Amino acid sequence: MTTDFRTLIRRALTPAESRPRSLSAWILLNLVVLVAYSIAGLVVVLFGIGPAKISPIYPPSGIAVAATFVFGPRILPAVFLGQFLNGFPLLEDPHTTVANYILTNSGTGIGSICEALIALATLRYFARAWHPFDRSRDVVIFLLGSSLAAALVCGAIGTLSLWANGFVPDREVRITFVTFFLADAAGIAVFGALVLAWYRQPWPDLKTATTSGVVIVLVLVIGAFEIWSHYPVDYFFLPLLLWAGFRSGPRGVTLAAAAITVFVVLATTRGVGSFVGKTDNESILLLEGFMAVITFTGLLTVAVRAQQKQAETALERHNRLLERRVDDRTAQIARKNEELQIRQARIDEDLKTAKILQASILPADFSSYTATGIAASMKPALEVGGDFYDVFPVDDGRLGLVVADVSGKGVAAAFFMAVTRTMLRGVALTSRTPSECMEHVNDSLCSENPMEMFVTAVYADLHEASGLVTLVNAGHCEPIVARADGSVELLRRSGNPPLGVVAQRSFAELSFTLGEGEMLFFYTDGVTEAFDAKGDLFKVQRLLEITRNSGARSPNELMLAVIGGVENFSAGTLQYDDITCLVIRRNAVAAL
Amino acid sequence: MEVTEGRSGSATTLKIAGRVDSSVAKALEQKVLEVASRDGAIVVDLGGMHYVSSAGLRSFIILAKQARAKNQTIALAGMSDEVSEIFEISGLLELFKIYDSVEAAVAALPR
Repeated sequence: MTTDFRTLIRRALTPAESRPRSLSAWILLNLVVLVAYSIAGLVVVLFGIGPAKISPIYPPSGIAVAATFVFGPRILPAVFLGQFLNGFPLLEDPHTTVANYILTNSGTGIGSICEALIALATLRYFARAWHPFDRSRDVVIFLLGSSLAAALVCGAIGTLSLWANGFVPDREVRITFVTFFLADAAGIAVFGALVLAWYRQPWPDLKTATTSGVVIVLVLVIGAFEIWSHYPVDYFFLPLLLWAGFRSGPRGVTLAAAAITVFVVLATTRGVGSFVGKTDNESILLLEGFMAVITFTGLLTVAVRAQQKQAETALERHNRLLERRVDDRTAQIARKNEELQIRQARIDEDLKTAKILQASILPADFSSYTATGIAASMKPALEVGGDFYDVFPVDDGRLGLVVADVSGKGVAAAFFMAVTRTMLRGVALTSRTPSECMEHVNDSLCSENPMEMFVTAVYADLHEASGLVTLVNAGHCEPIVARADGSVELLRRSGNPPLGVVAQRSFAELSFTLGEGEMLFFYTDGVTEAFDAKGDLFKVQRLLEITRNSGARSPNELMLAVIGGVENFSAGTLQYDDITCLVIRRNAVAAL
Repeated sequence: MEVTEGRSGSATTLKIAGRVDSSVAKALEQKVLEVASRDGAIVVDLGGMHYVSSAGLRSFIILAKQARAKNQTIALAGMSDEVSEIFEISGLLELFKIYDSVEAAVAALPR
């Protein structure tokens, strides 16, 4: 039973949107509001100024508006009943009858209902947030709409019912209306705001409680000083109001405003303070003005500060979010980088191996050849190249000499180069003539060539004893013969395409005799097409100049002269293509 | 070197002018692969090309090989005698149909 009762109270008094519907909760809630309304109404008696006992502030209107706002229009019966019962002072009036008593109080009751409904509707319609004190705009809406506009209507209805039933003489209608209206407005602005600020979640903490204690004590101290000294020091209240607001937000401000209001009204009723006017009406208006100023100033300041804080918090949250995102992304990039480095290291390792393998299939030691002096070099532009040269004995007394250039660069070229070199050497050993060898290799390269690659190549067959050279040039750079008399000859191409381009084709041969001490120079277009910083090509002419008058040179000396010449020429530029040289010298018989 | 791509009838035309050597071979090779990826015949206008090095010739071999793999007609037009000789001794003339001018090449294309 007890538990049920507690649940009922909790359900009845839960603020905001969550409103359990139950008849008993509804009755209980209305009873609670009725009691609060009536207590607030009784307090009014204490605030009465002058012989007419008119209060400058009407706290019940604040209770009604706050309750309607928190619990919804379902508590309006309590508002009507409370207002009806608050009309008891009329009983003292000599011309009160049962009929006009009921009519008048029903009229003011309806006025209060209208007031609460207008206050609620204004807030719900115009304010953006659920609670009116979180934003400065909503504070203005609360004070102008829910307080002033609502009270204006209520004042009009209340005054009308008092006048119509003869409780207000014609000449006092205007002043009655103004007092009624302003007292209700002040009641909503001060006590309505107080309830709205405090009756919401989260419930007040210790800091707010401390602020409240200090506020009440200081109001009492300032008040006591004013009563004792009779100096009007009411402006001391302003810093207190703002301090409370800065420390505890709307709760601090509304409590301070209410405490200050209670004090100044009570002081004025006793003729003390800044608001004692020449007439009672003047006192009432002065008080109402003061109340308006402090609630407006206090609530607005707090709302502006709250908004500022919200903006700061939002900014900080965004910053944190941004920082976290940057951190995440940085970590991602670092991870990717690491993966890439590992992958790159693997590729580097593979390329290094390929380079070693490639170098190993190019002959480097020619010391076993005595009748012929040989020098050769291949300098790739990338890690691995597509150029190659080869020197091998074909049979007794005959040497096979090859210089070739595979289309493209890098791994694909290196691979194709290895295939071509192996094929050429193998086929050369079983072919009768260089042209037969090249035709065979050409057909093989044409039939198994998925990458559409090709090779320019020169294959020469040197008969060491006679010096007879039989040569096939498949689209390659034209070799140079350095004669004994110092002259040089360019061995013209004879219309053969590169290997791997046209299948089933015959290749033309070229024959000549290399005299003793004469040299044969093979190269790739990495030599003649090396360019300098201006973009000019090295060209065959420069090569012919270097090879001219080479009678006294060894093959190695000639090769180094050419490579040195190219390096000097293209100094400061990136090597564009592989540079390959093969130099043959038919040694003099005497040297044997 | 200057390379301009155009169209003449159903054929893609590629005008190559200036000096074609190792310093431009890479750019030409890219352009040539791009043109080779199109459908229809390709007519290369060499009227303005006054020099081609062996590195430059490679781009033409690539073009010929790509076109042949796709069964495309490929023609060279307006070659100077010098350039024609270079193509001949390099064994490349037989890879292309040769015409005096782009108009003649386009007119000779199968309808």
